[in-house]
Amino acid sequence: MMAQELLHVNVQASRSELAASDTAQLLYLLVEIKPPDTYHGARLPLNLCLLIDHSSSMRGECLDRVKAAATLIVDKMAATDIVSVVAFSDRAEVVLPAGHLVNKVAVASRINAVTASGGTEIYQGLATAMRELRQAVSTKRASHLILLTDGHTYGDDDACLVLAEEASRQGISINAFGIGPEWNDHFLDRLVAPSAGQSVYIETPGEIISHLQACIEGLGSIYAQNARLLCDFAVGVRPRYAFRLAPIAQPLPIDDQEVKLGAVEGDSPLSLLLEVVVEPQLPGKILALPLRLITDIPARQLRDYAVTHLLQLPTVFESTADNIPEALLTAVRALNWYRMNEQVWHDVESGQLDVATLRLRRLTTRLLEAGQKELAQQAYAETERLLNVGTLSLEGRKRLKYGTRSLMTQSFHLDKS
Amino acid sequence: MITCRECGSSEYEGALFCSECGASLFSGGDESTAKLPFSDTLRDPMPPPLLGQELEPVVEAKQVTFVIPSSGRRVSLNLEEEIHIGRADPSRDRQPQLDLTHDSGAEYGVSRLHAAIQSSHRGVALVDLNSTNGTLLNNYRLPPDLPYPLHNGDEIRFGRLLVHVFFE
Repeated sequence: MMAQELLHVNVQASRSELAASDTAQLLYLLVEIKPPDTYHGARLPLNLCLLIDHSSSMRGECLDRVKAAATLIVDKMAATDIVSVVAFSDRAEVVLPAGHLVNKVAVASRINAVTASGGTEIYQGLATAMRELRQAVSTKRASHLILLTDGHTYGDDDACLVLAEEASRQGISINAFGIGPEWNDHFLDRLVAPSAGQSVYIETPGEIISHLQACIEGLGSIYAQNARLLCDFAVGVRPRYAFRLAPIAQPLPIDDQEVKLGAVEGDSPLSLLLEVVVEPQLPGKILALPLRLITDIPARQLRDYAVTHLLQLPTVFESTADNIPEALLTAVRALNWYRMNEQVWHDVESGQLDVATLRLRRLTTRLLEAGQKELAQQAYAETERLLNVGTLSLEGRKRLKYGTRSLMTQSFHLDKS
Repeated sequence: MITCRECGSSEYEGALFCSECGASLFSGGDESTAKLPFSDTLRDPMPPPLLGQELEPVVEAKQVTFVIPSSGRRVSLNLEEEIHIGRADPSRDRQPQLDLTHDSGAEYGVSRLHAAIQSSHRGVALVDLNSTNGTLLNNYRLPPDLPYPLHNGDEIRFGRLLVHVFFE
């Protein structure tokens, strides 16, 4: 570990040396970022906007639970926090304008008065929520938008994604919670990507409160934000895929060797898995793989604080077998399951049902081998459905996608314990 | 590039798991056979006759042909004293005469050393070699390590993989 005063960066690699090869090869890096052990920082004030979908499909228990969760969160906010609530359907309305909370009872009453009606146009809500948040964006606060929705947005996807990019540039992170089976997980993943937020699957309304509480607790313990990892690697070496394992599993976008990481919490390390492609190399070289972490640390009033971890790997004629770190291995295994499942959906969407069926059957086998019975049964049920009906269920899609994702976090935590 | 020994997919050197079938690609990886829950749902078997009784001789049979409907493959083998059926195990340098690896054997729950066909002057018998997911002969589950008579046109399931047997 490279000890630094304000952030520790620890890296484990799948190889200790690289074979000089005439074909490209893969290298996996498990990166852990955490504050120093001596850190016991004060809570960073929040600038939070709850964006609630109140379209007709939310009618009943779903909206009731969302309102209850929103009321609970508002109740837990500190006097230093700034909170706003926006409800949207095909229009948006400000339920609670951005400001410090003075009368929580009155706020609860306003939230409770929201009723279900209309369609789902996320852009309207997103634009209104952004206006509320912008009023209090500051380096001394963590600015977050939390979206709760149960449906597809219609015709405004691209406009939403432009807003998400803008939010990221302004230091606002977006977290999205999809309730039930209907919402578009691909779209929500893209919506949270620019700010490296999280998209979460809430299967039943009963789980809404616990998911939101966990999210708010994480936001309340932020130590560093706007973190980026610059992979300034040697020529012919590039990161191909990045995935945050903890605290919440989420694929991370790579933009010109830079990976956006989002926030680093004070209580739990941020861990990510990097898949790196190494183009053919000559023997006798030392490949430099510097990982430069750049982030803001509000408690220290620091912007673009940087720390570098330098990994160096020799290239040899013939590499010896490595003892691969167990934590890295379990994470890569779970990542592979996640990607196999994603590929199944790609196969189905491109009409290759035979290929999808075989792949899903193989995934079932692997999950069974690993003792993941519930997910294996879900995969098996979807295989049967694919064979009999030629399609997969929306519930199955989300259970398998978010189930395999969460295995990455679970396996990582198990290895850490 | 390296080749996955389970499914034949080409993968990058340094890859730890096959992107196509999920098999381990590094040395020391997990090589167990998954215990499938599905075969448990089949009906309770009636016991077929044991080998202790007289077997029906397979007259003039010199060759056995296995037909695997799911992959469309036909494999003909000379009737030897013992024919092993399973999946190739390169780490132990074991290669069963009937290798079901490329018939998606792992996905169907075929063990590496799953079953054997034994041939003697008394006839031909099928033996389950204590496989993870069991062997069904004409839908009857065989207890492990006991030989059961095999006839022309019999239907065998190694795990869930259906195979028809013909003698020539």
